[in-house]
Amino acid sequence: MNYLNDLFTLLPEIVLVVLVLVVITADLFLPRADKWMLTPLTVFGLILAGIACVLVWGVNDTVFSGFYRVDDLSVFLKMVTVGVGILSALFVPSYLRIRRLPLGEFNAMLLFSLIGMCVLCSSSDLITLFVGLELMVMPGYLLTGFAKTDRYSNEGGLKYFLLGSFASAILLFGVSWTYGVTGTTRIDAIGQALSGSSLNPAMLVAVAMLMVGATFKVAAVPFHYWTPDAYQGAPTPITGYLSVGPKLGAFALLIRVFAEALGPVRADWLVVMAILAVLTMTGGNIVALVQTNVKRMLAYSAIAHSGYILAGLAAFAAAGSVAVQRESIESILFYLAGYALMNIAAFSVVGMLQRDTSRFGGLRSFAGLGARSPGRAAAMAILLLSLTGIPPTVGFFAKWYVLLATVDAGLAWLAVLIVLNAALAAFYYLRVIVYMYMREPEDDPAPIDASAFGTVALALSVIGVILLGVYPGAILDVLRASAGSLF
Amino acid sequence: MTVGLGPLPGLQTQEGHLKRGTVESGRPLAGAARRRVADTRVRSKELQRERSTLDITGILFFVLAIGVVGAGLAVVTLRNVIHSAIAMMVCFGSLAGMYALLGAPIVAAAQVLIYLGAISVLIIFAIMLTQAGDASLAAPFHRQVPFAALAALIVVGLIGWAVIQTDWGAAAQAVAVNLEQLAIALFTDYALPFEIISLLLLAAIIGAIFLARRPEEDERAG
Repeated sequence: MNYLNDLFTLLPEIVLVVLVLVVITADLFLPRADKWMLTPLTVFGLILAGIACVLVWGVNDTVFSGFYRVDDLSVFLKMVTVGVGILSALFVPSYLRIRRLPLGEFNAMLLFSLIGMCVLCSSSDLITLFVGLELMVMPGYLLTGFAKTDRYSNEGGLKYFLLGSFASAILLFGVSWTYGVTGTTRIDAIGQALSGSSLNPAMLVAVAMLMVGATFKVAAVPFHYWTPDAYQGAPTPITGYLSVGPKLGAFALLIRVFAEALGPVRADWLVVMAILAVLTMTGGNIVALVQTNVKRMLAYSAIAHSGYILAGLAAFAAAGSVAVQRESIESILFYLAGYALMNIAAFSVVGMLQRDTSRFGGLRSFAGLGARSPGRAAAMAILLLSLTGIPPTVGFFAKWYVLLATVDAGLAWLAVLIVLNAALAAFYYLRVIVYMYMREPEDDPAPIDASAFGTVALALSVIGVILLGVYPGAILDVLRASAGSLF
Repeated sequence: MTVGLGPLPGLQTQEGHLKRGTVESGRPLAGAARRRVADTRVRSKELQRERSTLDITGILFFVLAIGVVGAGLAVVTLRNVIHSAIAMMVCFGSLAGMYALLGAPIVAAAQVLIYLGAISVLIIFAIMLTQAGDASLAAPFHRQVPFAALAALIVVGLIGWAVIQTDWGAAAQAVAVNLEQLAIALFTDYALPFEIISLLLLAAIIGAIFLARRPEEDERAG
C-alpha cells in the first residue's frame, strides 16, 4: 500500500484538521481585543482547503484499505462544504460578539463539523460513514445550544441532541442488520451482495432503519419534529449553517447508502422515498404558510427544500437508464449547492435584524426594510425569489433540474406536485418581500447589524445566487464528472 | 480468545488462520447459543443431537435474557433515578454474560470495562452531583404510554418476524478471531476510522468544557 499516495488524497481533510488545531491554539493566546482575527484565519485556512480539493479532483481512488473513496462526487461535495464553512465563518462572528459568546469555540466546532461532512462524503464503508456522521452532527448539537444562558437555545440543543442520538442509534442498528445479512460493511460489496436477488425480511428491516435514520438527518416529514425548535432556538446565523451543512452531509449519506449500496434494490425503496418526498415538501410548506416569525418560517421552508431533493433521489430510483440516473444525481448535487448558498444567507439576514437581542426575527422586523437598508433588503429579496424558484436565480434552475429528472424518470405526478408546492411556497416567501417594500417601518425599527464580514459574505452569496442562475453552465461540467464517478 | 463476529472486512485475507464454524470445531456451547439468539425455534435433528450441552447453555441464556429484558424494563419504569441506574448496571452485566456465552470474550470484556466499569459509575456520579432533593418524579410522558407500548410491540413483532423468516446462512456462524489479529486490524486496516474517532473525542471534550464552563468565564474567554 502506498501510504504517501493515500495521505495525499486526504489533503483537504488534513488541511482542515491542521486548521482546527491552529484555531484552538491561537484562541488560547490571542488577547481578547484581537479575537476577531480568528475569523480571517479560519477563512484563510478554508480557502487553502478549497485549493486542496482542486488538487485532488480527478483522483478517483479508493484508499485506506477500502475505507475511504476520493472520487469526483465527494470532492465536489467537499468544495460545497468548504464554501458553506467560509460563509458561516463570516456570518456568525458579529452575532456572537453582540451576545458575548466565545468565537474560538464556535470556529473549532464549525471546523470539526466540516471535517465530519468531508468524511461522510468520502465514505466507502459503513463504519467510516457512521463515524463521519457523528463527527458532523455532534458539534451541531453543541452549536444549537451555543447560547448557554438562552432558554430557547437550551431547549433546541437538548431536543436536537436527544432525538439526533436516537436517530443515529437507529441508523447504526440498520448498519448492523445490513452487516448481518451481507457479511460486509463495504458499500460496494453490499451492492454486489444484494444485486440479483430480492430483499429478504431481515434486509427489509435494515433498509427501513437506514431510511429512518438517514431521513431524520435531512429533516424529512414525519421525522422532522426536532427541526423547528432546534432551528429557532439556535443563534440565527448558526441556524443558517445547521440548515445547510448537516443536511448536505446527510444527503451525501443518502447517496452513498441508497444510490450506491442499496442501488441494486432501488425498486424496493422507490415508493417509500417518493412518499417521503411528497410528505416533506407539502408538510413543510403548509406549516410555513401560517408562521409569522421569519426564522421559524425559514425553518419549515428548509424542510420543504429537503422534500424537493428527496424527489431527485426518488427519480434516481425510478430511472430506467443510466443516463437518467446520472441526471437525477446531478440534479441533487446542483440543488444542494444552490440551496446552500441561498438558505445560509437568508438566515443570516434575519440574524442581522437581531442586533437588539430581544428580537426574534418576527415578520414585523422586516417592515419598511427597503427604505431603511436598501442593500440588505435587495439582497434578501433576491434570496427569497431564489428560494421561491423564480428566474434568473439559482433556485429556479435547481428546481427545473429536479423537475427534468423526475419527468425523465417517469414520475410526472411527482413533478406536478413539486410545481404545486413551489407555487404554495411563493406565498410565504413573497409576503416577506411585501413587508420589506410596502409596509411602513415600526415605531421602533429593529437596529441593523452591519458588520463588514457579514456584508462581504452576503454580497458573495447574492453574487453566487445570481451567477449560477444566469449561467448554470459554469458548473455543469463539474456536476457531470461528479455524478459520473458514481457509475 | 474468540470474537463472535462475522468475518471482519480487514481480516478476510487471513481466513486461513481463522477457525470457522465453532459448532463443528469442538465448541458446541457457542454454536448452540448462537442458534438460540437467532431464535429459529425449529427443533432440527442437529439441535436435538446437541441436547445435552444445550441444556446448560439454554438455561444460562434464559437467565441472562431475563436479566437483560427485566432490568431494561426496570430502567424505564422505576421512578427513582438511582434505582434505574442500578437496574441499568444489571442490564449491562447480563449483556456481557451473553457475549461470553456466544463465544465473544473480547466483546464481553469490553462491555464490562466500558459499560459496567466506566459509564455506569459516571452516571451514578452525575446523579449524585446534580440531583437536588427528592429523586422520585412523576413520569412526564404519562398520556403517551399506551401509544408507545403499542408502537414498541409492533416493532418487536416486525423484527421478530424478520428474524424468524430470514435464512441467516453464513452470517450466523461465529468466526474465531484472536486478540492479536484484532489489534493488528485495528491499527492497520481500520487506522483511518480509528483516527477519525479520536477527532470526534477531541470535539466532544472541547464541547463538554464549553458547556460546563460558567458564563462569566466565557465572557473572559470570548
